Amino acid sequence: MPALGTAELTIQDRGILATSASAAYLDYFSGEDRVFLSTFQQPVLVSRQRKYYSRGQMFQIEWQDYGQPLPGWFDPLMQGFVDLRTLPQNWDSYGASPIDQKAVHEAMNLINGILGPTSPAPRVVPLSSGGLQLEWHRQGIDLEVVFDRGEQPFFYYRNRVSGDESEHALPQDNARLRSIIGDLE
Amino acid sequence: MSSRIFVDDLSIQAVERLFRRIPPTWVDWDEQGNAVISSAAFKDVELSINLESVMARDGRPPEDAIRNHPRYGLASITAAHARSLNQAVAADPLPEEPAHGVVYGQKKRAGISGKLRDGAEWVMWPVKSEAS
Repeated sequence: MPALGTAELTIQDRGILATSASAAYLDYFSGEDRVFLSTFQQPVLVSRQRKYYSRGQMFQIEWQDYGQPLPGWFDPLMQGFVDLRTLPQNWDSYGASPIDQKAVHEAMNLINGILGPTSPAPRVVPLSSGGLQLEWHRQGIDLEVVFDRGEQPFFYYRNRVSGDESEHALPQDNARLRSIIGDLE
Repeated sequence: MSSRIFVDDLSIQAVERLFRRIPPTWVDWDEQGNAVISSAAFKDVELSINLESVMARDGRPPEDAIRNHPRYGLASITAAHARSLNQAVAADPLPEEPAHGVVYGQKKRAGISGKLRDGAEWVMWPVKSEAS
């Protein structure tokens, strides 16, 4: 078995992950719960960590939250982002560059505000250009969110049954994206 | 970003198969065990492919395109399919790959990459593995 290298995500990465995790967990509280908690019991932040392995490297992420269960999409999404970080030069055999970390951060930040606790996990896919896309293919719907170098993110939607398709700029159409993902649950 | 421009070479016949290597990271395995290609495999403006006719001329079988790439799959689209999506098809021989060609045109927008993918067929399936 090959020796595992150890790599931690940067502080900035952890900050984004912490934001993502906290936002997701807070959605678990109903408004009533929040009133209850704020009146009788302040939620307590706890430190958490999780390890991911990719191509012989270990990545450890740490964040603080209120100890709620992780949403189902958390691990597959984080594993997908970690897998992007370990892609070697020329990973597509056609001369692709490593994935741009700015694109990864942009994707993490955006998805933070989009996914709900029961959202289906997207597949994280690298682009030869150094960008990435998040993909869902469910219930006859193709949904792809594209983050590429020097370009505004956008998403492409196609209903394979009706043939309807459309393209939307982000973050302007975040609400539309959230709604479509909600329909995929 | 590529600064080259390719024009459609009509000497390349409509039925010509254009081979594209597919690394494992562009493959998703569905519940039936089928290997599904991501549209990401077809997003480059200057999309590298191998021309089947040139490989055949040189006595090379299609799978020779992935000879040095273990675990990769090999997919094909036809020149006609590419052209139907406003793409140009051209030869672009390289010293290390005489059969190299290009499917040239914008693919990222309007779902073109996904439609190119929809017309793709497996020539050689990739090797399924946990660590892609």
